[in-house]
Amino acid sequence: MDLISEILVTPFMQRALIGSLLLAILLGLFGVFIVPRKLGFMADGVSHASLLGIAVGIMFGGAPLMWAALVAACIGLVLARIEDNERLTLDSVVGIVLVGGMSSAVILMALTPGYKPELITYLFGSLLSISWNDIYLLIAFFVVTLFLFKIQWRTLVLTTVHGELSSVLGLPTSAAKYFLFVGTSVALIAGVKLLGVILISALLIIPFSAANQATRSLRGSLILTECLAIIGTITGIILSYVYDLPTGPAIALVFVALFLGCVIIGRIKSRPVLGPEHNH
Amino acid sequence: MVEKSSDKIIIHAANVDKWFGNFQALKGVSADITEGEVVVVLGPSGSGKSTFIRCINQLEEHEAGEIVVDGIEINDDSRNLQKIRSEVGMVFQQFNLFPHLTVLDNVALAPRKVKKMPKKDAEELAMAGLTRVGIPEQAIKFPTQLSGGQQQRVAIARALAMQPKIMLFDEPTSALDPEMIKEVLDVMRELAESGMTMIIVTHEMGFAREVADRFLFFAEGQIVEQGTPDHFFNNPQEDRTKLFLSQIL
Repeated sequence: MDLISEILVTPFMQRALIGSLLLAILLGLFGVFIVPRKLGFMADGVSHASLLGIAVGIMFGGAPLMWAALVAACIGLVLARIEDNERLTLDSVVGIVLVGGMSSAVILMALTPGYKPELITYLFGSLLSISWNDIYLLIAFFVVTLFLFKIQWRTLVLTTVHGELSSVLGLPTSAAKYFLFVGTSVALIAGVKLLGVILISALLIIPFSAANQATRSLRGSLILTECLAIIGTITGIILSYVYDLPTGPAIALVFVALFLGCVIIGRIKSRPVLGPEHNH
Repeated sequence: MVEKSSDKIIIHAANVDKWFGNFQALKGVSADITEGEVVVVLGPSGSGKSTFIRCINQLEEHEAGEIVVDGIEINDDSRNLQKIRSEVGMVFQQFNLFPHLTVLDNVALAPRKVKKMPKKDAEELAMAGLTRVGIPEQAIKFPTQLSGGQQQRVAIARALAMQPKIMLFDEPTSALDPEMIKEVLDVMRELAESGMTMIIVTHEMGFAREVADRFLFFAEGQIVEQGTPDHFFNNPQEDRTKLFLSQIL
């Protein structure tokens, strides 16, 4: 009880918990639509490439994450545009964007004089780096994104369940696709302070992947994804606080453990039940 | 039986090329299909049959040549694509229904979302479609509660709900158990008799011979031979066609 009270009254932990809850819900939600479309690699590409925006922010001044969000939004737009291009596969473009963005960022940082301690924060995340201003911005982004989800929900579900059929039926899918790509990209950047550029994709990819081991229905996956996202993030933050561990890796490892747990549960559930004739 | 007298070309394909990586799936394919015509596409696996019909509603993009559907050229213009998709219905090998929607919602979905039809009108249209394919009593069930044949009939009703001018069938019975094939073919037969323009990829030769106005025989990405059922079955000219027929008849 003492530990929980201590965490709840510590201002930076309050901010970390509020921020992580909002991020867990948002990225878990995006993950439900991104992972089944086999776009998980996009998360790594966008988050790594957005380091370019962070480097620009550090080099020229201004809020690095705003620059990163701008870079991520642009990448999201480009990826949405080329998703159906048969000559340019999405994974190859993501790879190119990742390499190009990170390389540019490293060169920019090398050209920037002086010690750059904040870079490590952006790479792996830190509890201490989250300010109340970050939380207010995150709340605004959260509300707008949920509103857009409400508008695009049905189309997102239909195109995720059966993309080709949605196309054949002529359903208007463009707006939902651009929302998914750009929204995911910006949401990833919103979580960079917590998990860092290197590990933020864990919050997008692992909760749904884990939930999908235990349930097959969309509704079941959605509920379980959100539960796992919240549990994993909060557990990781508490472990990070108690044992003084780097936040991003702590959260990411909790998610990996949850995923393995769900795989085991899924295997047990799918094991054929022996009938009475087998009970010798 | 509706008279099939129109000479209007509703699908025009000229020198269509399609590549998948280094594999050329279509090699200069040309075909004109008139309104009300029932064309059966035959050929061995990998010959380009499915690719051809998927190019007609741009599920696959062709790299060269020209495809015009009811006067609308298939190109990069998304408005053209939208128009073509509203005129061309498609039924796949797999039943392709949304599993989380009821049968009625599956059929009413496109009229509501694409044609912006009021829910009540769309559901009435959907019920009419389900009645036409003989399963109105299944309207409130989910696809997984239906047999394969029933699901494929729902898929046909779903395609018809957009009141298309053309129907494409991509091996609609090949995923069905033998006892369910007839019910689907009966629906397709009724559709052919109603004067619908149809392009059908199938290996159901008895059915094909009965409903087809013309056969297109594909091999290695090209139309090797085409003609009426009588020509195709009784007087094929090409060795490749003769070999194919000897293997399947």
